[in-house]
Amino acid sequence: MEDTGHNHMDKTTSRDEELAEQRRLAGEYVPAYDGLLVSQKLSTELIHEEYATGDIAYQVKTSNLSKDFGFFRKIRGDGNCGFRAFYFGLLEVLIELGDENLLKAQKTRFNEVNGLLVRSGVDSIIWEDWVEATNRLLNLLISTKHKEERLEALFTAFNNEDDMSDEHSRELLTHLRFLISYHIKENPEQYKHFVPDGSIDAYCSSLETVSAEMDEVSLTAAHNMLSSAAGINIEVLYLDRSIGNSVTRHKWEPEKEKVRGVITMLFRPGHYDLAYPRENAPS
Amino acid sequence: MASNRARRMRKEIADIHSDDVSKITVSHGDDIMHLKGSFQGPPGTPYEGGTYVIDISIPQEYPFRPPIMKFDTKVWHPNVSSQTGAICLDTLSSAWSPVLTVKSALLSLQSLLSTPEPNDPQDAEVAKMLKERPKEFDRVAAEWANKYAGAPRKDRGESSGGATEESMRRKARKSKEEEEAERVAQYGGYNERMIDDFVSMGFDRDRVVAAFDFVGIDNNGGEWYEMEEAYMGDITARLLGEP
Repeated sequence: MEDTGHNHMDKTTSRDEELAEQRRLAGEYVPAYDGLLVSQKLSTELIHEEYATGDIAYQVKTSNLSKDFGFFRKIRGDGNCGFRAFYFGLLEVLIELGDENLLKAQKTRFNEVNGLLVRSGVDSIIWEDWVEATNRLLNLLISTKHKEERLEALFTAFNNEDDMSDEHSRELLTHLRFLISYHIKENPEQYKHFVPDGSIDAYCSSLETVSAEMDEVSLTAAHNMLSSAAGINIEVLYLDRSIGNSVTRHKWEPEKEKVRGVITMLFRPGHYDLAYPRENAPS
Repeated sequence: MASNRARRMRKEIADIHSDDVSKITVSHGDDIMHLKGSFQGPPGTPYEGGTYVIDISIPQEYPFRPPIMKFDTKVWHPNVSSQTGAICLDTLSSAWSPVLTVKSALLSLQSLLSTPEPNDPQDAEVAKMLKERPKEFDRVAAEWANKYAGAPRKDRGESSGGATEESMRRKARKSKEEEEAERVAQYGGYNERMIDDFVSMGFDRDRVVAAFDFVGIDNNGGEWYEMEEAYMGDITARLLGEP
C-alpha cells in the first residue's frame, strides 16, 4: 500500500509540474480562479484587481473595461485558449439565443466543413474521434431541452478532464484546429497575404502542431467557416499597452446583414478569454 | 474517452503490421501503450544494415502529446545520446502534431540517421567529432552499428565506409576522372612523357601536340613507346617552323 501511495504522489507531482511548465510555456501567469479549462462567469473587477499594482495603462483600461463588460470567463492558457474561447463562445451564443434550430443548423455546418478532413487525404482513423466529439456534443445540446441545462452541458464538456486528462475537450479543440488549417489550405488566395512570408504551407504546418496558438488569421478562418454564416459576429477587445484609455475593439463582420449574436473575446498579448457586455453597454 | 486512445493505437499497430515495404516493426506485451519499434539503418549511411530498436511509451494525452521515444540500440549520432539513447528531434516535442503517428515518428527517426544535425546536438561529443573529424565519425558510427545494431562489418577502403567518407571518395573519384579527361584533352591523347620531352626543349605544349598531329604520330592509346628518330626530326622541324 505504501508503494501505491508513493506512486500516486509521484503522479500528482508530475502532473502539477507539467501544468506549471505549460503555464510557463504559455508565457503568462494564470491566476487560480477555479482551476477550470473554462471558468464560470466572473466579475471583470477581478481583471482590474490583477493590475492594481501594475502598469498604469492597464489600470486605466481595465477600470474602463469593467464599465462596459461586466463579466468574463477565464480560459486556460495551455496553447489552446483561442480555439477554446472561440468554440465555447460560439456554442454559448447559439444556446443563449434559445432556438434549437440554430444548434441543428450549426451541426449541419460542421458536417459540411468536415469534408475538409476527408479531402485532406489524412487517414480517417486520425480524425474520426475529433469529428465524433463535436457530433456528440451537438447531439447532447440539441436533445437537452432547457437553456440552463444546455449551458451546463456545454460547460461540462469543455471542462471534461476524464481520466486525469482533458481528452474530450482536446478532441473538440483539435477538431476545430484542423478544420481551420485545412480550410486555409483549400483557400490559399484568401489567406496568403496575411500569413508570414505568404507561405500557407509553413503557416499550416505550424498551426497543426500542438503548441501553436490561435492568431487573427486562424480566428478569421474559424469565423468564415463556422460563425459568419450563422449570423454570429466576433469582437475582440485588445487589452495592451497601446495608446488610449479603453481596450481597442475590433469586429469581424458576419456575412449576413442580420447579426444574431456576438462572441466577445478579450485578448491580452498571448492569451484569449471570453467577455460579456453589460446590457446597456455601447456595441 | 481514454478508449479512443486505445482504439487509435490498435489501428496504428495494425497499419504498421500490414505494411511490409517500410520495414518498420512494432511489438508489445499486454500493455499496448508500451511498445518496442524497430527500423533499418538507412542505406548509404554508417548505420546501413543495422536494426535499431526504439522504446516507445504512449502518454495518457496521446495523440495530443507526442509518443515518448528513445533508442534501446546504442547509436553514434549527434542527435542521440550515446549514453541513454535520448533523442533530440522537434517532431517528438514542439513540432508534434496529432495527425502524426507512431509509424511516422519511427520514419522520422530513420530519416534523422541520414540527416545528422550537429548544430543542435543531443550528444556534444559526437557532434564535435562529426564536425571536426567526419571520417572518424563515420568509422565509429559504423563500428557501433556493427557492434550494437548487427550491421555487417565494413571492409574499410573497399566498401562504403559511411555517408561522409563515401561522398568524399565519390568526390575524389570524380576529380580523378575530370583530371584524366583534362589530361587527355591537353595532351591530345598522346603519351604525356613523349609530349613533355619536347616541352622540356622549350616548346609550348599545345604546339607540340599540334606538331604530333601534323606529322601523324601514333598515340598508341596514350602509352609510351620509343619514337623513331625520323619522326622526332619531323616534329622538331615543324616546331622550329621549317617547311
